[in-house]
Order: sequence, then structure tokens, then C-alpha cells
Amino acid sequence: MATLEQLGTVVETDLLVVGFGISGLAAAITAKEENAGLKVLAVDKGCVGYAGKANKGGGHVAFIPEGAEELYVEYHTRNCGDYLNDQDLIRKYAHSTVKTMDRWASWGVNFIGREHAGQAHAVIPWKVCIVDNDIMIPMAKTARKLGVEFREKITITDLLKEGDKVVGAFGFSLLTGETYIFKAKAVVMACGDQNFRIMRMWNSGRGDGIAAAYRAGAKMRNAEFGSFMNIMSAEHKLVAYGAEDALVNAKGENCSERADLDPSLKSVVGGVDLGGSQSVLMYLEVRDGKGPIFEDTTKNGFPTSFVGRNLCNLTGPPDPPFRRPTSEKFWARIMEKKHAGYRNEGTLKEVIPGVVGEFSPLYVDHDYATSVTGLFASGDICGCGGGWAGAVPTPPGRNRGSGLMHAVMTAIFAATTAAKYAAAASLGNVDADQVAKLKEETYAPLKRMKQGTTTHEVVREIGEIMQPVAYSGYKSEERLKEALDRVLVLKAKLPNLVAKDPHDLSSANECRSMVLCAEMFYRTSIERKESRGWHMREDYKTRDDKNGANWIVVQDKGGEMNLTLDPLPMDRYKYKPE
Amino acid sequence: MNVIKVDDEKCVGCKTCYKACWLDVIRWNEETKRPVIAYAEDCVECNFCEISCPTDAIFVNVDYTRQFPSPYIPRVN
Ligand SMILES: Cc1cc2nc3c(=O)[nH]c(=O)nc-3n(C[C@H](O)[C@H](O)[C@H](O)COP(=O)(O)OP(=O)(O)OC[C@H]3O[C@@H](n4cnc5c(N)ncnc54)[C@H](O)[C@@H]3O)c2cc1C
Repeated sequence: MATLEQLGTVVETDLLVVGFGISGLAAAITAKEENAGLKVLAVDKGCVGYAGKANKGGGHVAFIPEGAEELYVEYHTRNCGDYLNDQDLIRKYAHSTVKTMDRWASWGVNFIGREHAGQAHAVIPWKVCIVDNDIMIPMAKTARKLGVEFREKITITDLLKEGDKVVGAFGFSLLTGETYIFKAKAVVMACGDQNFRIMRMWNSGRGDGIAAAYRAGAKMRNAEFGSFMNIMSAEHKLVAYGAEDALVNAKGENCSERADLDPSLKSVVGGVDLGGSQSVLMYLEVRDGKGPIFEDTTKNGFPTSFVGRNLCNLTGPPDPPFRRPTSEKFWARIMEKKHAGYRNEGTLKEVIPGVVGEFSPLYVDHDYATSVTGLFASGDICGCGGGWAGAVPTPPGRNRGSGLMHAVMTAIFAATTAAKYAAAASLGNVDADQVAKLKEETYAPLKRMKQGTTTHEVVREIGEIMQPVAYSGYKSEERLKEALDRVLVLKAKLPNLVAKDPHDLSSANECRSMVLCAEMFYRTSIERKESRGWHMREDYKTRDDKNGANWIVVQDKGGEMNLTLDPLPMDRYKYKPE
Repeated sequence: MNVIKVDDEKCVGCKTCYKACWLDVIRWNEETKRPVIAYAEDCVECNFCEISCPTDAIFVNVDYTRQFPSPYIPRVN
């Protein structure tokens, strides 16, 4: 039998952080600040200071001003979470935004316009300021100064367990294919969510962390809300900001509002706050033969809005306190390329909904520990699983600016808990047999004959299964079952996956993760027989307060996806459906 | 497929484009100190390599004709 050292490079640490996007960086920094003596190692497929979504985003940071917390909790529960949110956790969130910004600022991050923060919402006093897109560079410097170690270009494919406890992680180098065995007292998963590789939106989330945690026995929750859709140009395939308010069908009729839309559905989807209804509206128009759908660019108010001006600069430079050198360069380049991608000069531009996913069901408790001992999580990976936002994929919905805040805040929570746990734990025993088996399974696509299924074939089919609004946006029993059947056909092909090199082998692992996430999404979507928040069903058009006030929990039970219901403690919660 | 062009004359070998590419599209040749466009098929035109390059030596030519899944109604193979 091979020893661990014969199977790969063995690296020991106290705390392993998987993923060093903004949440992983914040978790690594926090762990060191909480306990300087702890050995902290962060691993990612990308490079330090650049990995993850934060540097390719809008940089809006939303916070709840002191004194307005309860107003926010109530508003969110009633209008966004649709009463499925954990009201205790969202209260913790609301009371932690300002504290999070103070600690975050001490890591070299500059909040531009914090004193002149814009009003981000029509009703609640939700404030938004901005950060520049090079935000992770000073954070990485802070982490290095504190002694955080980094390993780049490594993908983590599985967690290592001793009995019920996580004792490390297994992965390999994208560059050389070399196997890495990380032994750790505690592991923080900060490796992002799942976007199914459909719409660009520059999301590196392929659900690897979700899949690894699931295979390690971790609980998942709110998986049915992971089909966030944005509106994109059919021509250049990039996001068409603000198009949702300026939609016109092929007959020239305004269809941002649709009179015949079922009134119950209208109240359920939460209007402007969720924005999921637009993709459904577009679908219904097309189904009725009134497609394609266009954006009337003359009616799009986004470019002149606070957020628009500071993002797209289409109407000149942003207001003076909001200048951002990196961000302006990034967004200006995106805009130039978008414009180059338009095929016509007219003011009507064809738009389609595009799946961004934000599928993020890893369950965590209020201290950001998962259900598996030794395993913690932060950031996008547990956006829905944490339960704070409720029946809506995070950001949440179209309310921008909470992704970064959530990533950093939950990193502080998770790393504080994990650092305490690691300080009291000892390194576990990693079983060489377990590693040998994982190695054989993980590397199998490299060894197969060339006639198997390629990673690009799987990616293409996943797109066809997750994108159509008829499947993932406006759901029905029949269509959900059809989609699930297609997932299962794809799943059956996974043992035939082929990969040509370590880069492709990482894609093969991503394919495995995407298929698992798609299966979880459709199984839980079938189970929720009501419409609630982002989960819209044509066959159950209203919220079912009697039977629906449950979280659907998913867990691996002997290789089967097991679904159970976890009732919300509604009696104890302050805000109840009227 | 996007085409990523590198001007080897303008490039100063700082490796920033390699670090900036989060999808492992760009690899690095340690001998020539120049980027290698290894997996252009995975490029998603975030342009981060381009905007990070201090000498404007790299350019992403976007392919706008790429396939997108059926947006509304399922396409059955
Ligand atoms: C276009 C866009 C605009 C946005 N605008 C805003 C905004 O204006 N305001 C806001 O608040 N939020 C915004 N967001 C959301 C915000 O950027 C994210 O919520 C946040 O950055 C998530 O951070 P994270 O670290 O949890 O995840 P990520 O940034 O996704 O980081 C996950 C990391 O894990 C790594 N990883 C994944 N799998 C593995 C593996 N198997 N092994 C090793 N490493 C792995 C990835 O490479 C990545 O670096 C935007 C996002 C996008 C894409």
C-alpha cells in the first residue's frame, strides 16, 4: 500500500482556506488576527489578489445605517425573503454591516463616498458606497504581512475525513497535475457558488466546493432558489443593465408590466426587489408568439442613476467623490467591447434572459459552521444555505451591493469560529487508502480512451438544461421532471468523461460539480409545490403558508440524494405572513 | 472563439496578465518571459489581462457569434 507521501505532496497547516477570492482573503486575515500563532494556508485555482469575482464586479457596498436595522429586517422579510429567511440571522447581518466595514477598512480598503453614501433603495434607508476593483490587492498584502501562506493554481476536488470529522483536502495542480494532500485542523470553504458556466458575469463559481462538501456529508438548503437570471444582449451576450425596465415586444408593446400576469404571481415575485418576474414576462411573451424582446435604450434610466453613473460612465465621469481608476478602466473597456458587439445602430436592442445561477446551498449555522465537524464556510458558497436572505438567490435579487458585504462579513464570522476550533483541535489522521481511492477516481478522465464524453459537451448540455426559462425560471412539474431526466442522462455519462491535460481535468471535476448541482436544483424545485420568492411555479401560483414554511434540506445518504423538510420556527419569528 | 493577441515587443515580461487570468487561459513561459495563450476557448472576455497590462501589450478579440443555450424554450437534441 502506498504511503501518503508516495501519493502526492503532503502539506500541513492549522487552518486551510479553500478559495482566496475576497471571502477567502478576509477569512485568512481574520484567522490570523484572531490567533497570530495559527498556521493559515489559502489555496485557489487562480492567483493571489486576482482570483474570484470581486475585482470584476460593480464594487458597490451596501450597508444598513445604525438605527435602521429593524426596518431593513422587516422590509427584507416581507418583500425579498418571502418569509423563508432566517430572521435571527438577517438581524445579525443588519447589525454587522457597519462593524464589518470598519474592520475591512483596517485591511487597506478604501470605501469611496462612505460619508456621502447614495440611497440604494426607494423605501428603506439602505446606503451604498463603492470600492475600486483592485480591492483584493491591499487585502492580499495585509494577509501576507500577517503571515498567511498561499498556494496558487491548485484545485481542491474533495475533502478528507477521519470518521465524521474533516481533516484536510485533496487537490491537484492545474499546471503540472501533481497531487496535493492538505492536512488541516479546520477547513473554511470560501470557493464560491455555482453559475453553470452560462452567462458571462465573470463568475468562477462551478460548485466544486458545494459538491465536495456534499460528498463529505454536509447539509444543503434552499437549493431550489439557485437560478438567478440577468438580462443580457442577444448580440454581444453581455449584461444589459437596466433593460428590465425598458422591455418592448416584437409588436412594439411595452412589456415590462403585463396586465394579464396572474395577480397572485405578481405579489409573490416581489416586484422590483426581486426582478425574477422579468425573465418570466419575457418568456410568456415569446411563448405567446410576441417575441423577440427588445430593450428600448431610449427608455433605460440606468445610465443616469446613482449606480449606473458610477458603473458604466455612459453619461460622463462619475460624481467627484466616486472616482475609481481601476474600475473606470475595467468598465470602460467592457462598454467599448459591448458597443463593438452590436450588429445594428438602432435604439431597439434584442435582449434575452441569461442564467447567472448564484446557486449557493451549503448550509451553515449562525457562526458559519457547516453540519460537518471541522468544516466552516463563508461568502457566496453559502449565500442561500445560510438562510439569511430567504427565498431568493443572493445578491439578493436585483438589490445590488450585498455580495461583497456578505462575503467579508461571513468570512469574519466563519474564520473566528474556525480559528477557535483549530486552536483546540489536533491534526487528524489522513487515511492513505481514502486518498488512493480519490486519486484513482479524480484522475480517471486522463486515462480513458479518447472516444468518451468531452468536458465541452457536458458544459454545452448543462447550459441547455439550466438556461431555458421554461425549466429553471418559470417552473412546472412536467417541465421540471423533463429537465431532471436530462440531468440524469448527463450524470450517467460522467463515468465516460475524458480529459486531455490537468487544465481539462479540472474542467472534468467542474462538470461533475455542475451535474450534481443541477440535480439538486431540480429535485428540490419539484419538491417545493408553491410559488415563493424566486421560485415561481406555473402549476402552484401562490405561496402556501401552511405547507411551504419549511426549508428543504438535502443530504447524501449512501449515494442517494435525500430530501427532508426542516420547519421554520415561525412562532418565534417577529414577522409573519399577513 | 476569442482570439487573444500578445505583442511580444511591447511586453515587458511582468507576468501580470498571467496572474490576472482567473480561468487559466493564459500560461507563462519562464524561459522567454512571455505569456502563452494556452486555453483561448475558455476565455470569457472579462478583459482583466488587458486592463492590467502596464504596456497595452495584450488584446482580447471577442467572438460575438459564440453559441448560447436556448433562452426560453428547451432545445432538445
Ligand atoms: C459582474 C459582477 C458584478 C458584481 N457586482 C457587485 C457589486 O457591485 N456589489 C457587491 O456587493 N457584489 C457584487 N458582485 C458579487 C460579489 O463580487 C461576490 O458576491 C463576491 O465577490 C463573492 O466572493 P467569494 O470570495 O465568496 O467568491 P468568489 O469571488 O467566487 O471566489 C471564489 C474563489 O474560489 C476559487 N475556487 C473555486 N473552486 C475552487 C476549487 N475547487 N479549488 C480551489 N479554489 C477554488 C475561485 O477560483 C475563486 O477565486 C458582483 C459579481 C459579479 C460577477
